[in-house]
Amino acid sequence: MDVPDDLDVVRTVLAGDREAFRVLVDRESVAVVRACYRILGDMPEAEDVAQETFVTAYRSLATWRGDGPFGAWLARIAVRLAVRQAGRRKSVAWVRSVSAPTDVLAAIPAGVRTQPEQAALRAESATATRRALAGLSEPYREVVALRFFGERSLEEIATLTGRPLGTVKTHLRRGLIRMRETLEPGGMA
Amino acid sequence: MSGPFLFGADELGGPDGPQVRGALEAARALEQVAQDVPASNPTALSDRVMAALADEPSPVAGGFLLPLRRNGILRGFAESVRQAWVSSGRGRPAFARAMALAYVLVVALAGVSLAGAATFGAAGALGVFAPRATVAPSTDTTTTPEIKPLPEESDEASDESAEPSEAPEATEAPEASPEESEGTDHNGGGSEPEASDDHGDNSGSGGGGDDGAGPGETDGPDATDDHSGSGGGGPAETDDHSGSDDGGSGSGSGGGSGD
Repeated sequence: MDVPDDLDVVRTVLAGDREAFRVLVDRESVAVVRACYRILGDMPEAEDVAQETFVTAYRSLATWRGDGPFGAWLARIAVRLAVRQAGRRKSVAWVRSVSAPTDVLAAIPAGVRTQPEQAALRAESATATRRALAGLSEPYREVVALRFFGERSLEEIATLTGRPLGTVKTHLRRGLIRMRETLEPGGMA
Repeated sequence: MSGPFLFGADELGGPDGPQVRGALEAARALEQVAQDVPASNPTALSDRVMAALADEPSPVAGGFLLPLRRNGILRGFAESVRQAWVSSGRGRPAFARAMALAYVLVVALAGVSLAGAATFGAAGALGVFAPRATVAPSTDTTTTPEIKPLPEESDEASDESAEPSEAPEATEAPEASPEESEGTDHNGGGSEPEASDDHGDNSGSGGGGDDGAGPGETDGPDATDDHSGSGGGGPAETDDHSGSDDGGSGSGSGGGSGD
């Protein structure tokens, strides 16, 4: 059975078959939720943002040029929305992690939950890393997030953003250096 | 996608150095965060997404016109306007939003224009904008009948009724004696006091008594009492005619006026 191409599915949706969009959602939902969770660190919130990502993508479907993978286009939308969401609840998230440690532990995978101290350290380090990423300015934040949380290659990022590959590399390098400067006082895990 | 790419130093570009080593440490921390992801339920998310898209208009620019094509103009109009209104909100391409907003504005303007025209037409049909000339004549007709009957009662007086306009001249004359002015009023058209003398002799024409009725109603009661002596108010002027008939037996002209 042939798997329909992304472009064919998009054309079908644009022709009026809304249900065809489910194919794209089923295909990309795991990656989108994963990217959102890596930025937000909260699964229910990540699923909400993932849903918003698909709705936004559906509304703007006619603007997708088809010059790159549909997943990469979705990842860019997801990263933007997730970073924006993280910026909204920045102060609230810090209070939640202190007053409700059970939430932090619940977010840790079951495999590492058997070692509480190590799990707590990893959760604290992850929170610090996310905050450092959220504190970056554009375009560094977008490039770093797409590369590590959106699971996109530098070539794909260059195509998505319309920038030369060398420029993307430079942005990635500067972004990581600034993140390191932010994380250095607290130490790295 | 097969999971996060392992980051290599070659992706950074540029020469190696302490800064690059720091960047690599940050990259390792990011990779650590990327690995710790709990499992999610993609099927549930797909259902949520499709449910959220159920009321969404078509993503095509101008897609809000699709209901008109599917359901016809009458059936699909409301749905088309609703979708256009939704499409004019945020989260959509600017061109699609502009088209949808223009469509909503055109529909709204057309609706307001039709409603205004309908209101104006209904108000015109109800006579709200009609001039008040139709009301004024009705009041005039109610007042005029009170004035008209009295001149009609005496046919011959109507011929002389134009003369009372000369009464002001008689009022100029009364500078000498106010009693004469009363006589002239009673005679109506008579401008000379001599006419009243003829009236008292019963030999004058019956028109003398008729003149008293002609000029006006206000002076009528006092004037008739003074001259005929037979009493009676304004309407008693016809009695004056009968009195003149009695006196008219001596002169044929009086009987003629009594008729």
